[in-house]
Amino acid sequence: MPTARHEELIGQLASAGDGERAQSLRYLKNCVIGNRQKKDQLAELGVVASLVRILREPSVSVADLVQACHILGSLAYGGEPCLHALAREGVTRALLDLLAKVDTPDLIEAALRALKLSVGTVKTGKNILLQDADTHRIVYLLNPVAWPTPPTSLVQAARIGQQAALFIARCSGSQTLQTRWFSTQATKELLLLVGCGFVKTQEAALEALANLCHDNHAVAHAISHSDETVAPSESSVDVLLRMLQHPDAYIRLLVASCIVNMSRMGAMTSYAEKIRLSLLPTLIRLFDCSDKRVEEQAPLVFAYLVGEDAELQTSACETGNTLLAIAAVCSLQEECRKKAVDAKVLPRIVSALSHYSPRVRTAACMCTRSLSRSVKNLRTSLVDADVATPICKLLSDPSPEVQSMALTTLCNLTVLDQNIIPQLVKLSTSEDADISMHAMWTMENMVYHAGRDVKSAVMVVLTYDRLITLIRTGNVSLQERAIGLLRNLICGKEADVSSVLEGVGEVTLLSILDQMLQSKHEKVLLQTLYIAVNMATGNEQHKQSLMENETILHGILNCLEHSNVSIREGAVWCIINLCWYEGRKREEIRGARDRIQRFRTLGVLERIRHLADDSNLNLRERVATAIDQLSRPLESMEGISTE
Amino acid sequence: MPKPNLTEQWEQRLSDVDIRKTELNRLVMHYLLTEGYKDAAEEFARESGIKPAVEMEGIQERLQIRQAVQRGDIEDAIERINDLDPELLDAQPDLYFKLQQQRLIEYLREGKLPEALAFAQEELAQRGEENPALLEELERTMALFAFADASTSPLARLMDDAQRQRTASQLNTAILAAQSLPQNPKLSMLLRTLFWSQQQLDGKATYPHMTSVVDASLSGVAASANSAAASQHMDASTE
Repeated sequence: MPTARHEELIGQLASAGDGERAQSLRYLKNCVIGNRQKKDQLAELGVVASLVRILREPSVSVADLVQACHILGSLAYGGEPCLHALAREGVTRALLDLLAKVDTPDLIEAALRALKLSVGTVKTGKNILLQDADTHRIVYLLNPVAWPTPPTSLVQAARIGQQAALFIARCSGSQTLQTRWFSTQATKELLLLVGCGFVKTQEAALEALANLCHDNHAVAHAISHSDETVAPSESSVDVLLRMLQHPDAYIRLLVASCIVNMSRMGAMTSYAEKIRLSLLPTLIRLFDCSDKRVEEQAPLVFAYLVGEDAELQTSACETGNTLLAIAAVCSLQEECRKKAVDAKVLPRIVSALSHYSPRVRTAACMCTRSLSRSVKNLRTSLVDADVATPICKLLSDPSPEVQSMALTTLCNLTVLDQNIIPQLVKLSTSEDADISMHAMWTMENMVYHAGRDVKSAVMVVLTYDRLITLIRTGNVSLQERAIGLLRNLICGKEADVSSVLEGVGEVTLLSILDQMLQSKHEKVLLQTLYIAVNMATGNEQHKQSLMENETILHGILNCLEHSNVSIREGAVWCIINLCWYEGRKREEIRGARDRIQRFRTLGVLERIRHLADDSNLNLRERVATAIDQLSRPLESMEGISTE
Repeated sequence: MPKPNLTEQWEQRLSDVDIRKTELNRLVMHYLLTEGYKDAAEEFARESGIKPAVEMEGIQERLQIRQAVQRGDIEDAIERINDLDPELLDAQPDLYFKLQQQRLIEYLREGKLPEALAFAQEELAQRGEENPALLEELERTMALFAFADASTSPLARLMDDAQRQRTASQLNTAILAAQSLPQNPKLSMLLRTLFWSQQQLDGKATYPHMTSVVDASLSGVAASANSAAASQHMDASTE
């Protein structure tokens, strides 16, 4: 259809005149429903603004308002132009304002539906601003059968409740929103809807409840202690546990998800036995469901349930059921991992890595990651099954979730395939700090104890300039990885130290050390300290540049009194390396002697002696070595060298 | 062969099973409603004295949608769907594609080739690009263009009335599901269960076998070939 015709239609929306507007609304509605291209075209021509104007106009007919809502709802299924326009024109707010003042069931249903669609997903709904009046109104709309004049149609009443519940489900992605709904009695009304008998409405209510108590202690406990259900003698938990047997698989999944979220908040402790005997098997059976939504989500719900609970993992393994599930629960226990590998689950995981569904691919990555927590698996079965290759492929997966999970998984696997370096470097520039951090982490592990060839392969693509920028970034976890990468690069032989010094530049490297040894973040400090430790294994010149920089030297020495034992140990290592000499070269021995002399003058020997009865065994051994070196008679060193 | 009095004994046992009249009436009512026989349902409600339940809701609209598809007026069907449930065709792109495909077929049935081609380009091509499975289906449909008389082509199946019926039934099921209403008549479920149970018994026991659902007559011996034929018949009738 030509643009001119579209413009004409949109123009007619503004003419409040009788039938003309009604006609163009109807025409536009049938135009956009189902057709993404037309949605986007019309959005670009400004249809959203015209529709919002209608919503805000006084004395528009109910029929016209209903149609306007339908079009707005349909546009929410559109592409970027639609989503931008919906956000820019404040559609969500306009619909909330409309809902505050209307009472015709048809219009309420249409407006709620559009409202729910306008907020998008739980992720985008997180940022919706809701007033108390809004939440009160929506909660009131949840149960139309309780209105003073309920809708004549029970099916419509159920649909209204469904739309309101879905809106709540999509707007509960933050603690603030969860609390707001909770304080307006949303959970109470939702629990009533759970037993209403209309499947779609029950689904919506369960989804909302699950989202409201996700990661929210107060809401989870309130739901588990609630007696507000349709059945007078049953508590909310009784109802939920009974509904685990519901004939509809998607309902079972949502019920399970609710219980799992409550359980993770410690709200189900008195039902531990029921969870083991009833919830676990139900969830596992859902893995083989013909409903795609269920097949995708069940492993994730399952993994969330047992993720932190070793006892539940054992129960899950004992059922000997679905292999994917067993792998998903292997994150904590070596015994589970062994059973999973013995059950020959790896080939199934490898094939699941290329499943058409992004959620299944994500779950398969999670499984691999759990299995890779076993060192034995890392060296044997995972290598045999060649999981690294398909996971590397997933780095270019269209779904950001899958990409991120693949990266996280790769971190644990030692990847030697240098072909993925460009992809990793690309991901390290991602706007998503988590992705960029994991990309750096993977490269950090790649160069760990690697040969010069691997190190330079990484650095040719990544470049030192980029690495330095990342080290100076404001994001601490990214900084930690970047410094860690530098630490692994510099670790090794003298040549490794020299090549890093050449790449970064001596002045820059020293200023990084200087600056980062003052870091308040222990992890950053530790990584930086080990750069110094590695540099102190280099040649005379390398060692001297550390000694000659006062701030660096004192930075290192201050770590001797740090509260973190690893950092104390790092400082002692640094001193050991600086006082160490192997060769018989006069220059080396003289250097070591001078440094020992310097340390003694600075009172380091006394400071180290304080650590001699540290509770940590490793540290005590390092300290003994250091004391030994520092108290060596300097004359004898001179003597050896002159031999 | 069974003993002569086995069938009698069997019938005696069956008559001991208690089924109430109102339950039978409800089953019939449920069948009429889910299949969209509105007038019949109202008449039956009047005669049998049972109240139609929530399933009666929207039956008029569903009936009109079904009729529109069956007479080939897909545009009308789509508008009616959008009035009844404005989210359905956005939420289920496959269903929308099915309807558009049917619309294309209707153009071809009427011999409107230029319109068909224009419609395929504007409405269907992009959808096909987005979804490989749909593209294949679209290509199959487009192949109809190649035949002077599509009704005698190897793809004639797409052109016949049964194709309209299939589309109409799929649509009906989707609408019912979206409204939380039962999608399959319980009656056909019962009959499926019956035939499945017979299959389970076959080879394990000798008993009078029900071979036809139409007259519920019992044959002397369980013959698996018969039962397979009968269940095939069931599938076809509920498609």
